[in-house]
Amino acid sequence: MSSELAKLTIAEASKKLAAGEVTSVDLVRACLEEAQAKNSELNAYLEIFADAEEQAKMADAKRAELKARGEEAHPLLGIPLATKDNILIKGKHASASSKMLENYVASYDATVIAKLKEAGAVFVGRTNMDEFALGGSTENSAFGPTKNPYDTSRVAGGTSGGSAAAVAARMALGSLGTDTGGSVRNPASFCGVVGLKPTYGAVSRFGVIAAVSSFDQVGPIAKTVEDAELIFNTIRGKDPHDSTSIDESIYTNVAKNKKIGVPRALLKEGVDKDVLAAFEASLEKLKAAGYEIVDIELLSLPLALATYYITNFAEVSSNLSRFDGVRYGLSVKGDSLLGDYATSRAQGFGAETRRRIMLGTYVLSAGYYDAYYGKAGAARAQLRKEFEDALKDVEAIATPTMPGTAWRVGEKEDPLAAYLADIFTVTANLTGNPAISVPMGNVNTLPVGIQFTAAHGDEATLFRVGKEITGN
Amino acid sequence: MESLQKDISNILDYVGQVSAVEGAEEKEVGLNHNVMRDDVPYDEGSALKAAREDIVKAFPKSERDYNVVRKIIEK
Repeated sequence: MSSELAKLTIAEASKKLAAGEVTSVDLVRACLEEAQAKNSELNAYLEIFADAEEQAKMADAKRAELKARGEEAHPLLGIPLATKDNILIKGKHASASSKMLENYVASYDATVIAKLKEAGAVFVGRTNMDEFALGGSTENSAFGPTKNPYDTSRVAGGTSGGSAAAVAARMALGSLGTDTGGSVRNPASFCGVVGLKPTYGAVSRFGVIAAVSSFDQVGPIAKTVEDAELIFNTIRGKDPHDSTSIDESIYTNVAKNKKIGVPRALLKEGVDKDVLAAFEASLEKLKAAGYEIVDIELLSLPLALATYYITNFAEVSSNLSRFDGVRYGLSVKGDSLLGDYATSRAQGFGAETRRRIMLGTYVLSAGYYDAYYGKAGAARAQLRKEFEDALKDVEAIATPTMPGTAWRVGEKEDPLAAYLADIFTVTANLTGNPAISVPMGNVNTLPVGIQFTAAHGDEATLFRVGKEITGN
Repeated sequence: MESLQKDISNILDYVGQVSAVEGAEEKEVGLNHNVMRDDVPYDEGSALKAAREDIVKAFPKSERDYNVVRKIIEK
């Protein structure tokens, strides 16, 4: 019975809760049992919260209270969710999977957490990620990589690898990740679940540890598109604590024309042939459902990765400068003040984080600023314009989410090789458009996802098209 | 260190492609731009007002309202 409960989608569990067929305690216990059996191997959770069952009891009590008053419960009341380790929950550790913040305990709730608490969701635990959300496989965590539930010799993707693996392995019914260059969509693709990167500003970033402030967005990971939509609708909205958050009405939606654009030029090389075959089969499915598939050209796309990484390095070096052993984070005494800074940062940050800080400092330095950061700014503006124009003619742009399946742990030692795998996902972060990854089948028993990008503020199209592919 | 130098050099070569872009960064202020918070105390009941005490508690060393931080001025 218990393992069957962990298989439920949020929508199914919510119906059973409303009908009184199960309790939140039942659901949480089912997820905890899965976690006890699998987490030591998968390393999806860094911590399972000791009060998870207590939270579930409170949710059940709240349901009884609402019922007595004849009021309806929020569909997330009593639903066990997992949250990424860079999202603050008051009184809980939030380390961003870094030695730098290993002992940090959050003193307030992130806005997304406050909204989920208001809805009555239960937080099962905090999930593993690439340190400070820098990576694409969760191998850069200071606490070991997260393994893929489909093949434990492979990565779960990243940076929200723990959040995706927890949902795929039924250790939570849904989860929150953050997406800086594909960090929700990439692990969703590798783990066979749904992941949404909302429009930039649609979801508050207050209480989320910053990686790249002009890219970061919190997004849901779930078993179905319907569940992802439910979590998104619960956490979205303008927040006075985040001045980059936006009102729903800020973007006026474009006409729906059931036309999907495919940037064919980008698919010519570097994409696994079986992934391409699965992609073409998904497009056929859309055609059968009455969609028109057209080729589109986005001239700046070949420069998207370079543009993305320059901006990423620059903002990372700036955002992480606060972790200096004096103001924030790990503090190690050196032989002088400079020694304190250097030793704290050398011991607190992992290799990839240090590499990006150095690269960011370089591209922002006076002699190189125009050649790198200035040019990246110009390229980003061009790309955004091209996407805006393309999305006047088509309602969504489709690509595979990732060019291949999950790689073996340790396989991509060269950092540049790992960066190149982000080719399809970084564009939505550069342009601020919403994008979703939904499962499109398996290649050699490993899941692969298809990605759709829509106009700013048009998540509704992503949910509709996503449901055409998955059926729910 | 050698491998770090090689990695960084390869990465800079790759991202250097961006020099092919014509034009410079646009200086216009976009839809989302940085703003400064008004310098006023938090309202009663605000999440941050409630967090104040917890933040003060997180100081490694404090004596009543005196919170000790590392000395950052050297002779």
